[in-house]
Amino acid sequence: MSATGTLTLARPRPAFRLASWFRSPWLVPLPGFVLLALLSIPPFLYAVYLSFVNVDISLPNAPIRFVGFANYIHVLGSEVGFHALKITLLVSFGSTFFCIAIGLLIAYLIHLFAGRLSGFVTVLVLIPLAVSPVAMALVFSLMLDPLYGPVPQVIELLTGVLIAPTGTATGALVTIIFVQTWQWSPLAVILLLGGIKSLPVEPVEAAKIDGATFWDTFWHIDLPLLRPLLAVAAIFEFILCSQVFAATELLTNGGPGNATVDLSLYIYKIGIAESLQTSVAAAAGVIMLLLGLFSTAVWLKVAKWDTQVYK
Amino acid sequence: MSAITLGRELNRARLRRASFGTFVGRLFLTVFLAVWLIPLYWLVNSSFKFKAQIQSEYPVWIPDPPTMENIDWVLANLDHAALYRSLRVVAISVAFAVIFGPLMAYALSRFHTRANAQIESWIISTRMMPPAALIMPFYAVFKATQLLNTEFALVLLYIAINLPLTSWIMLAYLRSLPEDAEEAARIDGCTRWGAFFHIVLPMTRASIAAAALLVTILTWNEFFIAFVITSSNITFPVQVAGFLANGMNPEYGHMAAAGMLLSLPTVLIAIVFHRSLLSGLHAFAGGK
Repeated sequence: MSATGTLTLARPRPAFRLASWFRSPWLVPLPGFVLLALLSIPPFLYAVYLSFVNVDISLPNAPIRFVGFANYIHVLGSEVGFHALKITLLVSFGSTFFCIAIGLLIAYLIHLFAGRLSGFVTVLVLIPLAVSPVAMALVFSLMLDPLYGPVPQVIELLTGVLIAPTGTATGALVTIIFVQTWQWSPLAVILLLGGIKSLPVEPVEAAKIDGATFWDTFWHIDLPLLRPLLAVAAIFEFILCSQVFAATELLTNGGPGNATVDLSLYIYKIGIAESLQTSVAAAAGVIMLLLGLFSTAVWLKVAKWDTQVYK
Repeated sequence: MSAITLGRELNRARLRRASFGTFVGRLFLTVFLAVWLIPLYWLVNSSFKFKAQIQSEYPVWIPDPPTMENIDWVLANLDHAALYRSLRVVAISVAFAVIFGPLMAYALSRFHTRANAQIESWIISTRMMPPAALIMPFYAVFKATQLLNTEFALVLLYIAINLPLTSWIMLAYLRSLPEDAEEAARIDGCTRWGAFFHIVLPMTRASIAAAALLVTILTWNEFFIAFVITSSNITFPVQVAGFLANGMNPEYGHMAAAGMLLSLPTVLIAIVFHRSLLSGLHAFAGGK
């Protein structure tokens, strides 16, 4: 034991040789690593740089000055920018909550009641995930049309009230949360169904012998065991649901007014479509980046939790 | 004897209660599924309707008589270049991600250096970034280098999104794969990459297919980047989105038909390869 230790210590450190570099096994995947590095690190640094200067693409000859946090103040201090951040957070947290709630409910229903049809039912639940967000925006604008849409028509038939779902600020927000939930909750259903299926049977049976009802075993056995998986599912739903562009651009067009302009639509409008304030848009991007880094940090923490439930 | 009869009675009572609960549960599940699939049904249903059936005062559930008018119109007015451009961009970026993702994952999972953990966290963080966060620097650089509106720019950005995803999914699979077979091959004189190509690759074919499938669906559907980066050389989803902006008298029939044609490939892929997609989604969340 100690002999090998001495041996490694005694061995001279190999000098840097080009030939040994060419034989390194890392050379095979190197193009992938290099391309990914080029496409992620310089843009990140450039975004941070842009957010602290005053670049405006429409004024290419204007002198570039360091402006401190002025762009961030422009985003968070303006009504539209701050509202966009609020909308992004509302939509992300709101649809994440509904995705997890629906995911848990449907996963249990499939597990308990679908029986031999569970594979078929899972495929049906899965479908919205594959539907293009653009097609989804199209079909929801059709279904919610105040005159010809089936949803307002059925609501009028049942209650006699005429509504225009995307015509009010609240209605438009609810619509967007619904669209995001519809698209991404299949992921939660599938992840949680996998978790529920691999739950240990013994504790539940022991509890049932002692007279526990379904709710008792659900609250005190299943839910604590599913906790790590629920957290993982919530983070991924959060990331997916925070990317709302198709619904806000096509379905509500940020409206009514600016009521449903989220951060990505704000970046698009202020940086490209309506004005060319590159630096302000970059600052809004950095704020979004912080959201992404925050979810990464939470994920890295949660990934260390006991993951035995889903192997 | 009496104990057995008692047991039977108990069982029967439990069965009766259980079957009532099962009935309610199944009913609820059926109703949920029906409501769940209404938007999709409405997309298909509306693309076979005449304009009068769409603009009726009550919902038309089954178009009678159905028409091919909308689909014919879309096929005639579709810019086929956009469709082919989408196919090319998806094919190139997915191919790159599917070739290099597994190689990167294999290096990260088997060649241990001090930097592995850092490289991994970096890949995770690039994977979690919302595309809108970094779109401005890309837009500025592409504008300055005349690369706006080119397929090259799109392919680059899609690689930046797809590569972390495939390497991440493959990392989850490779971690769960025992190294014994590779070690045996290396003792017999195989190089590291020889072991990968002869031993690991045949064992992970299904997982690579799952990663490819997921990435293909997400790239085909991608809208934000394509919408921002291209305004003249557009992709298929951007073109379909163009049908939506039609002012006061929207042609819902045409919109529905275009949306249906856009979603058809990915939905079919998802249904046919659902097993592969399911395992890909589990790996997507780092589970497996």
